[in-house]
Amino acid sequence: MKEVGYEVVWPLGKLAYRMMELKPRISDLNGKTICELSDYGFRGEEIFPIIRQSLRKIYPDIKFVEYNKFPNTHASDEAQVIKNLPELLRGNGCDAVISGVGG
Amino acid sequence: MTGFLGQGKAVAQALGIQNIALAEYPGISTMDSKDELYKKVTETLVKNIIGGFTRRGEVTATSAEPGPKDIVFGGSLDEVQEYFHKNLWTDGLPIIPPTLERIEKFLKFTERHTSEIIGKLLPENREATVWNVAVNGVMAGCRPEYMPILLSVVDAIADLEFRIQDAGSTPGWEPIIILNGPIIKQLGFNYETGVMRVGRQANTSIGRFLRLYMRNVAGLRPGTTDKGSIGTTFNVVLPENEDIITELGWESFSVSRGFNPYDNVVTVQSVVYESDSVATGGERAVDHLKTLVEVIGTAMSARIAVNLFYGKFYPLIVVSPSVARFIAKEGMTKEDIKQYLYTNTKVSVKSMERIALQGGLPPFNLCKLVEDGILPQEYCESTDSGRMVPVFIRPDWIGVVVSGDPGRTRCRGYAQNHEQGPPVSKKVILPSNWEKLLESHMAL
Repeated sequence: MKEVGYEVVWPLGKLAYRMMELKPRISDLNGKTICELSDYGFRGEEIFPIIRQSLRKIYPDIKFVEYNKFPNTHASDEAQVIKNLPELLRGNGCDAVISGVGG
Repeated sequence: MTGFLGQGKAVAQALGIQNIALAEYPGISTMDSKDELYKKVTETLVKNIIGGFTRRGEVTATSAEPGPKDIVFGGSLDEVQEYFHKNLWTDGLPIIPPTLERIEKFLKFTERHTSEIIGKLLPENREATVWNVAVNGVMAGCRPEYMPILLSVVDAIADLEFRIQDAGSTPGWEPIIILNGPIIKQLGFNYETGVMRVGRQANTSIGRFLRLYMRNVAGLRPGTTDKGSIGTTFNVVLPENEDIITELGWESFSVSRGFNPYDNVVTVQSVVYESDSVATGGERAVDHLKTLVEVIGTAMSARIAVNLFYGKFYPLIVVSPSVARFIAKEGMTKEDIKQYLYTNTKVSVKSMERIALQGGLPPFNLCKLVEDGILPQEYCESTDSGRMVPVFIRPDWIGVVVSGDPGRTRCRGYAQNHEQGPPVSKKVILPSNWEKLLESHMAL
């Protein structure tokens, strides 16, 4: 007996996002303000100071706005924090952001 | 950390950033000594950070995707299985081929429009539609008449409050569907012995559907967007025993969630682990409750630190019908069970702080959380670290469902994962010709 054939559709849904263009990269970090965002986990409190120290050796005029100046990005008020972030980052003159630690 | 690069890229892509700069910390930071951490940051991480600031990543071209009704493959049953496995569209088990004919049978059981967008599910950011609910329902082995429940389940997980985007977090939680209403009996759900076992088509296929849907439409796949370290697998549907609820004059789980007694309601919430199924006994109701505290309460305290950090914990306690009857004989209700558990299940702050540190949580202060309105006042009666604090944050956040073997005395606790997957309840909307459809369909 010949086996029945099946014509099937796919089970996924339509992608709902629009691709964004990244801002131009920074060729020289001297004179730039780097803002830090932390989820206060995975030893970020040790990692961020080492990053700052290392980057200052390479870029003596680099500036930092440290992570404790910003709210925790992974706490119970995360949604509100994320919503307010763009204004907060602009207000602090951030040229770039280091957000961590992903884990 | 290295293990999260894949997830980072996938999540960024779904938010519209295709070439996000990710700076890798090689390995696992929490496992390294201070010297190892210093070396890795200075020699590797900082270079990666500079690279991310100064260079653009490569953009991968994306390919066109099919429309919802496009035939993507034709073949025998075996060939369809192979095709779905290859494309990661299945959970490892055989699927029922989603043909247009089968999907149409499901769509007869709803008056919602086929192309209605129920929500956009992260992390992959795809549209959840009535159509693809039916597709995945077919695949999971559901019956067409389950469609109204399937839609309510997706309504629940698409609700922003549920936080479906957190379903791939490290603890590897799994949602559970709690069902109330006359539909339990209409569709033949099991709510007695082995209620949480696979076996009954309604309980099992709908449980499977949810995991399949999270995979295919939310895009949660182990190793990339699903970082559940060990994980667990789908829970079958948990219906409440409403015969017992009515007999005892107790509030059903859905009524405690704000619905009318005869509404059909699904509630979906996360389960990160479960307790032992404990047998309780004794001559007084309080004897049973003491055992619930000692076994289930203790089990629920395992993740107290992270629950308090986020200020959220909605555990679920499944109470045996026979235990419910015994407790009710003394005039007690579900509220009394909740209050007893809340009042008597405590842990020391010192113990909680130690658990927090081991789990990688940052240091936190309970009194500060009370001051910020995240925790109730009970958590800062003093600053003594030896003081005892409640494991359950609020008594009304404890869910109690009467279900399981009525011939035994077993109860079980299901720990929910703080702010991730809190209980979200949705009414099941039936089509206006439900009874007739059911009659004609079941007569086939």
